[in-house]
This record gives sequence, structure tokens and C-alpha cells, in this order.
Amino acid sequence: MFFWLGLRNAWGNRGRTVLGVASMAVAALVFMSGATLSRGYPAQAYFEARQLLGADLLLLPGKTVMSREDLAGADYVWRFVRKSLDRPDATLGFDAGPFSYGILQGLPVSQVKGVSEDRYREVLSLLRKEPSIKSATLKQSIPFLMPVTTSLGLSYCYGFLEARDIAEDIATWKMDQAVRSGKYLDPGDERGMSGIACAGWAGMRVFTFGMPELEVPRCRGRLESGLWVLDYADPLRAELRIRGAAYFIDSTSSRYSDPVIFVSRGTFAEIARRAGFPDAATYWGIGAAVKDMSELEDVIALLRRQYPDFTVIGVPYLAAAAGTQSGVPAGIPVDVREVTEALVFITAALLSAANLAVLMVSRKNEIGILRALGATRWNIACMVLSETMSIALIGAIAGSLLVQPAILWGLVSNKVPLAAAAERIGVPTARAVSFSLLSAASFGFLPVMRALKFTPAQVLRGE
Amino acid sequence: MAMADMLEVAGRGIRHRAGTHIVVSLLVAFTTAGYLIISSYVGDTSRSVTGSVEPLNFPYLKATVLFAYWSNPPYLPGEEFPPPREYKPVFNDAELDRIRGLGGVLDLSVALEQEAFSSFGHRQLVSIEVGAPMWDAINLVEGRLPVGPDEVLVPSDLVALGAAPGRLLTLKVPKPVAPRTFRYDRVLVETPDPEPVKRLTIAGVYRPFSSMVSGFLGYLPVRRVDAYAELDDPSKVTMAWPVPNTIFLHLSDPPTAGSVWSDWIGLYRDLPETRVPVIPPPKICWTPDLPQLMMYRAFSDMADSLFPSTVNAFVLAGLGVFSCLFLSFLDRRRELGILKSVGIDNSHTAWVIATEAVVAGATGTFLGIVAAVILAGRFLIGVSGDPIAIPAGVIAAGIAASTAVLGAATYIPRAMAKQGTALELLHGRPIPIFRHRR
Repeated sequence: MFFWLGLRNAWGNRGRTVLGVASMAVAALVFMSGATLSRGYPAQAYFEARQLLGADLLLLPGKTVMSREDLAGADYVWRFVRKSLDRPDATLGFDAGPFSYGILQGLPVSQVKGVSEDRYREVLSLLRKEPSIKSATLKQSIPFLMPVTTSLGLSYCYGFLEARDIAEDIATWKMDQAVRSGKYLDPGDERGMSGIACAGWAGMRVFTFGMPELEVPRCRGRLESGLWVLDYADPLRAELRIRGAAYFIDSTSSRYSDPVIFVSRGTFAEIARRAGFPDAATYWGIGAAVKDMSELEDVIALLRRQYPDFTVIGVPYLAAAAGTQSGVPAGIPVDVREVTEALVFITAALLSAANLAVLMVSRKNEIGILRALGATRWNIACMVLSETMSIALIGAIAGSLLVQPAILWGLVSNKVPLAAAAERIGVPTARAVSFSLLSAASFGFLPVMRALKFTPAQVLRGE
Repeated sequence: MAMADMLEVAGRGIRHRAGTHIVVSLLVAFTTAGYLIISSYVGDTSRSVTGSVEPLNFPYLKATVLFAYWSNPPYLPGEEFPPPREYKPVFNDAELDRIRGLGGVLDLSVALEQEAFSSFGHRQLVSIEVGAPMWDAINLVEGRLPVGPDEVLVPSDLVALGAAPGRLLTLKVPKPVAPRTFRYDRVLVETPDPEPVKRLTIAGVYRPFSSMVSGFLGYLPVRRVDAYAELDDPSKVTMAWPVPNTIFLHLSDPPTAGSVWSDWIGLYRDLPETRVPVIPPPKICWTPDLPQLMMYRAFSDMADSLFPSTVNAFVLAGLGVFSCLFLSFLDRRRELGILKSVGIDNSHTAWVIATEAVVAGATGTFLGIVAAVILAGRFLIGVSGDPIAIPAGVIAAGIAASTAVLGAATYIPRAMAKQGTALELLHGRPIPIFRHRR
């Protein structure tokens, strides 16, 4: 009976109840967002940028972004360097700062000279065994200078060749339509000297359907410091047939670009061989595609811990940096989601409880009469607690429901199996409801203590 | 009401509601201690990390500078900026003297920086103006300084690859590779080099004193632009090649590079109705403390997520304090109403509430500080490997924050105690927080 009385009281003070429900709904919304949405992205998020890079996340050798794990171990010396154009990578088009301005790079105190070829292959092999990784490829590039003659005379454009796995591009990056329409490499290009230019880079003009002569530097070996020596004065002159230009423009008209010509692995290997590049001199990183984009951030966090000699960066991060022209942040924010979630729930519960405690003052007569009629302290406590917990329950469910459309979109677009989707929605929802009920019960002592202060005698005396 | 009487009433209130005030004190103590420990831990980590940064050893402020003031009119899509009162060319003796005369600047060197590709790979080619003071800082180990535009210095690490004085070096200078942009400006229009292939003779070898100047060093003849007289469009002004794009300011006190940079930009205050920040000729700069600044920014990026949690914690404490004190106020409405009915004025009545809050808050703050000092000093180890010390500045900030939170949390009970009339307090009538008095 007192349980229903509590519910009726909640209905009777709808204004204050709505306040409590709203605060708990906000807490549940924050919790659900942290538990689900912040873990990843819908399947098509930043797809054009991912197409350009051929990856959902990149492992770049060395330390260029600081994380909490780097602070825990004092194994690095941080040095201001400018990335060399001898080792181009596709992040140039997203954040040119490291190449044009400079960056802080963490170098191991142990003086190990960068990431070795064996280490690349080891990490590649491990990544391919990772359950959350769909595919992983070694990223390779070779720089070139392209002489261009205009009315103003001779000038050079800088660019780089990138080896692409055509089968992977068709299967994972949906380049099949571009291949069919002749705007991308096709399997027949494995043996030919043809390429596809990336459109949109202001510093490099590549004429579609032309045959530019590229001056590819010859690799003269490696210094003790680990740097590869490239000879641009005596280059290999390679003629490539540019079959088309690839555009990477997303639905918001953000254009992603690099000074790059895509070639097949076969073409790349042939040019590298003729220019004297061993494989190790062409590696710039490892690209990986994940099975489920809605868990991308969790995968990145895991790989950061597993491979501290690499900088793991998500393509959405790069795409966002390119869009705002602000550069990739140099530090990875400390993950305090759990603390935030706990604090938000506690705040909501305290707000709701304080609100109800004040309300108890106006219910003094009701409580006094109930006590006079024989209600025990436990009955009164039940009545108050049922009101607080019903508010918490409604608020938690409302907050969880509000965020469901976004969660469902993320799961459906990533084609997550029904069972897994149910678990990824059900578990956080259950946790949100449990936390809200627990915090409401914990802070419910405030209105309960207030209600139990009123005695029948006080009420009858009119105090 | 005398102060002593007020304090006695407040003291009695504290004794009678000791439980409530203990809860308030504990809330404040917990929040203050948490804030102090986290802030000090972050500070300790920041110092450790900054200590692992290699210094630049470069007592110069280096800036990318266009030759003409505002040769790239800034604009944002849909907006246009009004022109300044006066256009000024930078590579002009009068203007360079103004820059050289800035406080903290020992001397000024003009240069042209380009990307260069040679038989030794990619390096920067920095062509320094003949007679520039920067040449005096170059540590020549072999050969001599270049005396003409067809000569170059190479860094000593290339000697192992066969670089030596007298050898010919072919440099290829492409168009700007990564178009450089300044935040409120278009892509910087850089004058193309009419000689993209340079055949230079190695005049000497130098040992770089900093990674900031560690590429090829070339010879730059002096180029100046006359003052613009009644000029409407500086983009029509041309400058004979080679056109400089870099200025090095040798600093007397490298840590003050930031203020030198501010003073330099401040030279161009004559821009009417211009959007802040002003778009000056110096576009991009590198300062001697750049590695430390970048490390600080990286660390801030990491620690930024802690700020909302800290705010949440203070909000939570404020809510808790408000709940306790407001309920305490509700409990003693009749007492306050009796005080008012015997003639105690509104301010003194409010001070009774305030005094209780101050005592509870001060006790809690003190306990929090003591707890934080003990916990941090005896039980916690920082990233540096040392116990965490809580700086006086952090303690002061913690006291200020808890005071602000207490003040905000106790505003409503104090206001109601002040505004409420005797009848409203005695009979439980609604009390406004603000009352319009006629």
C-alpha cells in the first residue's frame, strides 16, 4: 500500500517529479553515450577519408602523439623535428604541420633506431590475428619530383607514389564502381605502368590521361642514424600513364587530398626495384580496417597499449583535423568516462533527493497523520523510497531511450549481428538503470530522514 | 545585535545540528582534497614530462614573413576586411629597423627558406642575406662562407656521404609542397623560384648548433622594397627575385620570445575595424621554447578531459552543501522568525546562517588540505618518482574554489533568511529569494 502511495505522491507533485526525472535522464544519456556512442562511429563515417587512406586506423612508426601510457614509463626523449619529405606518408594531406612546421617526436632512450622491417612484419602478422581487425596492410610510398613546363618555365611538383592493394580496395573500400567506370586502378594494372592521381592537391597538378615523367630518387643506402639516403640529382625517370583522377569528397563537401599517385603493388614493386629501394625504405606505416566501426575507438585504445613503439591514430581523427585545419591534437585525452558517468549519476541522484527532502516539509501533515494511524517508520521509508526510485527508474529509461536511435544507427550501419546488438544495447541500459536505482536508493536517505522526523504529536500540535 | 550575540546563536545552531555541519565539512573536505591531489599530480606529471624534452638550443625567433604587408588580404567566406590605413612593406630598411629596435632583440637576419632535394635527400635550403649577423653564429669546420649565389654550405653529417668543399651540388627546389596557411588568411602566396634547379658549389662545411638550422645554407643578395606611397593594392607590387620569406630575430633573453612576438605583431595596430586577431606580416613563428610549449600543449590536450570531472565534483559538492544547509534552514525557520520578531535585523539573521556555513566550510577546507598533504606526501608517488608536493598556488586555488562553491551553495538559504519576514518564517509561508522593496 505504501509503495503505491509513494507512486501517487510522485504523480501528485508532477513538477518536482519531472525535475527529478529530467536530471536522471541526463545522467542516463551521458552514461549511455559514454558506453556506446563514444566507442566508435557509424559504418559510413568519414568513409571518403578512409578510402583515400585505405584504412580505418593507422599505425605510424615512432611516437608523435602522447598518451597516458607514455607518461607512466619514462622511456622517451621528446625532440622537435620536422618530418622529412624523403619518407612521405598519406597523413600529409590531413595534417601538413609535421612536414611544414614541425612536431614533437618521442625517441626511445634505448636508442633503438626506429621500427625495423622485422618489427613491421611482426606487427602486421599480429594485427591480422586480432579478432576485431578485418584486414591489415603495410603502407608503402616512394617520393618523386615531377618536372612541369609552363609559360613561366620549368618548375617541379612534389608527390609520392603509393602502393594500393586493388583487391582490398574493391572489397573493403567500395572502389568497384570507380573501377568499372575506369576511374580507378583495375586488376589489369598490376603489371602495367599506370596510375590514378588523387585530385585536389593544390601543390601538384597531374594531368589526367597524360604520361608525366616522374623523377624518382634512387636509394643509395642507409646511414647509421637510420636515415635512408635518396639521390634526387640522379633520379630514375619513370613514365606513368595517368588513367584518371580519384576524388574524395564527403557529403559535407569536405575534400580529402594528398599529393599522391596510386599505383598497383606490382607497379610499385617494379619502380622500387629499378630505383634501388629495398622494401624497408618504402614502409611508412600499417593500415588496418576494423570489422565494426562502432568499436573503432576501443580497438585503437587496445592497439595503443599493445604497440607502444607505434603511434596509433584513427582516420576519423585525421579527417576531423583536416576539416578544421587545426592539426591533430598532440595528446590523447585521458579516459575519464567512468568517473564522469559516476559523478553525473551521483549529481542527479543528489538533486532529486534534495528536491524530495524539501517536498517532505509540505507533506508533514500527511506523514504525521499516517503515523498517527499506525504507519511504522519502515512504512514511511518505503513510501518515500518508492517515490525516489520510481523517479530514478523513469528518468533512466527515458534517458536511455533518447539515445537509442543514434546507437541503433551505429549498430545497423555496421551490420552488427542481432545478438551482439542486443547485448550492446541491453547491457549498458541495464547498467544505467541499475546505477540510477542504486544512487537513488543511496541518496534516498535524505528525504527519508526528513520524513521520519515528523511525529504525530508535532503535526497535531500544529508545529 | 552584537557580533558576540550573533556568534553565540550561530554556535548554538552548529552544536544542535552537528550532524548536518559534519556532513557539510566532510563534503567540502573530500572535494578540496580531491582537487588538490589531482591538480598536484597533474602538475608533477607535467613537470616530469617537460623535463624529458630536448631543448632547441636556438636563441632566435624565426618567422615566416611576406615581403609586403597584407599581400594576402585575409578573408573568410562571405566576409571581406576593410583595408588598413597604410600598407607597409616589411623588407624595407625603415620597417626592418623598427623590428630590429624591438625590446629583447639583439640583431635581425633576413633569409629565404625553401625545400630542396639533392643527392643527399630532402633538406631545407636557407639562404641568408649577405652581411646578416646570423653568419657569425655559423660554426664553420671546413672551407669558407659562401660569397655568391652559386655557393652553398653543407652540414657536417653529409661529409660521410662525400660532401666536401669544391664539390658540385645540384638542388631541385619544387613549388611549395604543403601549402602553408595562417589561421585567418588564405593560403600564403609564395613567389615561385625562377631557377628550380640550382647547381651550386660547396664552399664549406658547418656543424649545426640546432636542428632549426641544419640544412643547406645559401647566399642571399640584399633585396628591399621601397615604401608604398598611396598604394591601394600591394599585390600589384613586385619584388625582384630572390624574395626573402624569413626573418630571424636574435634574442637577448630567449625565454622572452613570446613577448617579442607580441610586440612585433603590435607594431601593426593601425588597422581600423579589423577583426581580432590582427593579421600581421609575420605569419608563422618558431620560438626557442617551442619544444616545451608543444609538450605543454600535448599535456594539456591529455589533461583537458579532467577539467569537466573537476567541475562535476565541485557541482556535486555544491549541491550537497546546498541540500544540507537549506534543510537546516527549513528546520530553524521558527527560530529565525522569533529572532526577527524580537527585533534582530535581516542582515544579522542572514549572518547567522552565513557564519554556520563559513565555520563548516572553513573546517572542511582545512581538513581537506591536511588530508591532501598527508595522502600526497606519504602514500602517493608521482610520475617523477617522488612524493607529490602540493604547491601553495594549488592550495590557494583550492581555497578559492571551495569558497566560491560555498558562497554559491549557501546563497539561497542566506537570501531567504534575510528576505523572510517574521510572519513568513513563523508560519511556514513561502519566502521569496528576491523581494522588491518600495
